[in-house]
Amino acid sequence: MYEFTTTERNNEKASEYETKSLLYLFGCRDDSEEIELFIIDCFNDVSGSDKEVRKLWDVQSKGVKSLNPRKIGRSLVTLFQNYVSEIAFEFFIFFMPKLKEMYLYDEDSQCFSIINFKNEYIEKIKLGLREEYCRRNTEIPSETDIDNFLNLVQFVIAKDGCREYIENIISFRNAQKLENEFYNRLFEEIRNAQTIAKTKNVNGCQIMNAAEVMQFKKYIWKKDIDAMVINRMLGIDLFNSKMVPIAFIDEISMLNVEERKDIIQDCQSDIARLLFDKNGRVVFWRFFEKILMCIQDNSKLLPSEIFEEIKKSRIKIPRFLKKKSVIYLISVLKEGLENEN
Amino acid sequence: MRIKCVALGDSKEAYIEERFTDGVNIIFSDDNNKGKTLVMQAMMYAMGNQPIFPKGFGYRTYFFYCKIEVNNDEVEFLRKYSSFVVRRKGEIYTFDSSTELKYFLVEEKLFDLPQIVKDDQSVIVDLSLFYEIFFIGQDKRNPSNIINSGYNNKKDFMSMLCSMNGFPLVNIQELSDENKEKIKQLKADIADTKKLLKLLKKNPDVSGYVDKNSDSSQFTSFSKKIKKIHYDISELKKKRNLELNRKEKLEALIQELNSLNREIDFGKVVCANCGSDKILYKYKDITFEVSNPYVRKQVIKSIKYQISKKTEFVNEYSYKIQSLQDELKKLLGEVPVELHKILLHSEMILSEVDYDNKLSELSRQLDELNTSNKELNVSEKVSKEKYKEMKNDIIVLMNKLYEEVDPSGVTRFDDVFTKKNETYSGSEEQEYYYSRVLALNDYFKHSYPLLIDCYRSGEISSQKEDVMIRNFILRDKQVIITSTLKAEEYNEKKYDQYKKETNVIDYSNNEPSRLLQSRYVERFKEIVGSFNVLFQE
Repeated sequence: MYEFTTTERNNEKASEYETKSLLYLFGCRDDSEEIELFIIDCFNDVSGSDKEVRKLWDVQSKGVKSLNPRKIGRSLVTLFQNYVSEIAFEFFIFFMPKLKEMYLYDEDSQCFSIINFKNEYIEKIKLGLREEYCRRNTEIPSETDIDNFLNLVQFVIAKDGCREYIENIISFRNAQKLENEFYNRLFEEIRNAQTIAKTKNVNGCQIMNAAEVMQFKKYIWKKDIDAMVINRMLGIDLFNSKMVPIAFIDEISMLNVEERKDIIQDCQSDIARLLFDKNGRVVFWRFFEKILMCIQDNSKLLPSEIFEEIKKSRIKIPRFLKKKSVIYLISVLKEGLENEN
Repeated sequence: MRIKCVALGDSKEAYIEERFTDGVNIIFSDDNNKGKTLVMQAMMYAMGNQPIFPKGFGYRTYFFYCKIEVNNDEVEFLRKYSSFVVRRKGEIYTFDSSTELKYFLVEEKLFDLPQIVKDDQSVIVDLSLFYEIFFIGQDKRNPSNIINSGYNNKKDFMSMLCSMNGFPLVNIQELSDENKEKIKQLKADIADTKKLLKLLKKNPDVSGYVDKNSDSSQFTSFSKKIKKIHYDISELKKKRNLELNRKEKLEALIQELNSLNREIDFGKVVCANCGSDKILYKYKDITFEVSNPYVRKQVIKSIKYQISKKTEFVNEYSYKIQSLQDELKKLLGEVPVELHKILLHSEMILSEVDYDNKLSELSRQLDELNTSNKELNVSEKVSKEKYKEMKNDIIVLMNKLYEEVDPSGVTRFDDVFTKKNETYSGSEEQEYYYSRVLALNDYFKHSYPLLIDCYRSGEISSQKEDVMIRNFILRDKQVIITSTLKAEEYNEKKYDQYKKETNVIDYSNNEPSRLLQSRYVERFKEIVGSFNVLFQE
């Protein structure tokens, strides 16, 4: 049995760190590929998981300046409580800003285990953890548990800006040089999604195994963020890219130059309408996800074949799109995704 | 279509009416100010009607809700001032104006809104014009025009009836003007051709002269040069037109995009999850908007860039065309006058046979246009005749209905609307609207309910009223009518006699001018909340 006891209100800095830690799970780890789901504010600020919620990456982020070992110890308490809980977590990650010098042997390391702390400070960490655990649980933790736990914790130093984190999760090739504002916006949107997931209260709820956490709907699918990022890149490139997607050229090869220009402009205009149609949200995302799925599942299919697949699946095509515009959209997405992989 | 539930209110006070049945509903009370009109206006207002609420009722700050059943589907409307939210089959749609709502209702085939020609343009009729077919409010009645006259008038109302009848009044003037222009052009061509034919017959030498001269090398070279320039100019003009066309399309696109993404100025709906004014509906796994402001800004920016590029292309083509035309002028200036004339006519001077062919082709085209003109006139005639027939049928129905109610009455309707300045007395006016609503229903056999606020007041005798109610019952569809009873009528429990066949709803116990009450607030909040919309306190 696992009881949710967290839910703290956060300030901006803290929530920025929570988003960074989500993005860290998303794209900065060697095993990032395995993570498909982000569970928000249930076990911890953010926990990564595989599709079936069998394997869990637990992250505690601490965005405060001037962290000292004792404070670190205190902040480790949620991770530790999870460690001793009945739910098995695969990884325990502590996400924090760069520390003041002198605590560590290797100051430059971005990701390290407890042994990088100088011995006297390890004691301070343990002290902090013990204090906080006693305060919360009115019982003394077992020293073996603490030692075993600390050996498992991965300490990760957060990067300053958010741009790098976003760059790591972009799977779409684009022609434009992207401005900082673009990255900031994306970061903001992911943070908002996280905030929305957070506002659902689960305090006091109990679950018997990790998979049951899904019922609270406090999660974000990685593929949704992925689709959102691709969609934003699409918007930025629209009307900008001089190149017509190669796959689309086949569609218009029979036409003369002027007719081609007209068709391309029409298709781009339709997609612009699509991106401005605030009422079409539901239809749009179902449709968009279907295209991405088709492209990923059958990279050999031609755009017109993918169009037929979508029609067959009875997914509703957004009202602004003509058949040609759908094929154009598929071609653009296909090209953007292919070059990366 | 049937009305299922009507509600209105805000976070402090509200009212919910859901006692309607699918048959005849009579809402009555022993006095005025019991809220009947509020309920009737609220249901139509929620569905995009122009409101005529009683004076002093600050409707702009309230939410209005109406649930209807249409084609076996439930559709729910929530409105606050100019913002609408509609839920259908679990999906939620938002609109910033009743016009946006109108297009949605048409696209989703919920209401069958006809098209009419207004100001030379074919438009879908406005909701408030359409609703007047089956809804009559209590106030601002005016039998000589539609109730919500302003942008629309009775001519539009009749035009709408014609479209519903299957013979829309088309704007034939414009089409025939276009034809007339073409006929004029053809006649001029024919005259020119005849002239040339005459010239050829008179001066057989001309063709010989041309033949002789066209052999000379000087002539050939000139002719080639000029042909080339003409060709280049026409190609450039084609390209320029294409670019111009693209540019105009992009300019229109920016306008369209802005309107698609308009912010709601008044009566903002607020997201229930976070209080943000970004309305973000969370559906299953859908968390994100279709785009963000930065992306939208970039899209507009790049469209503008494309427009400026196209403008440059257009200017460049214009410049090239201009310089080619200058070149042409210069070339022609250098040529001796005689050669010049021949040059211009050499293309035109053909053999006689060709002219004969050309003449007969032109005459054929002329005939065709004349026939099509006639057809247009015929179709106009047909529409006009059908219009007359329809109007006549409706008036006959209206008079029949009126006579049933008031056999000794002297009024005779000779039009669907009365003439300006012709006024009816209180009871006549009520009889008029009763007859019109029923006549339109009987003529079109439409699927909408009949809704009349204050369908009778004291002046109409019980005997007349009985005929009316019997007639409503006979229509076998949803009818909602309201009525204020005199004290003695109320004490006699007048409507008890209809209890078996109709649904009588008594509003007498409502406190005067206090329809909205706090006890409905909780349920009303639930309704509004179900649209993911929060009250703004």
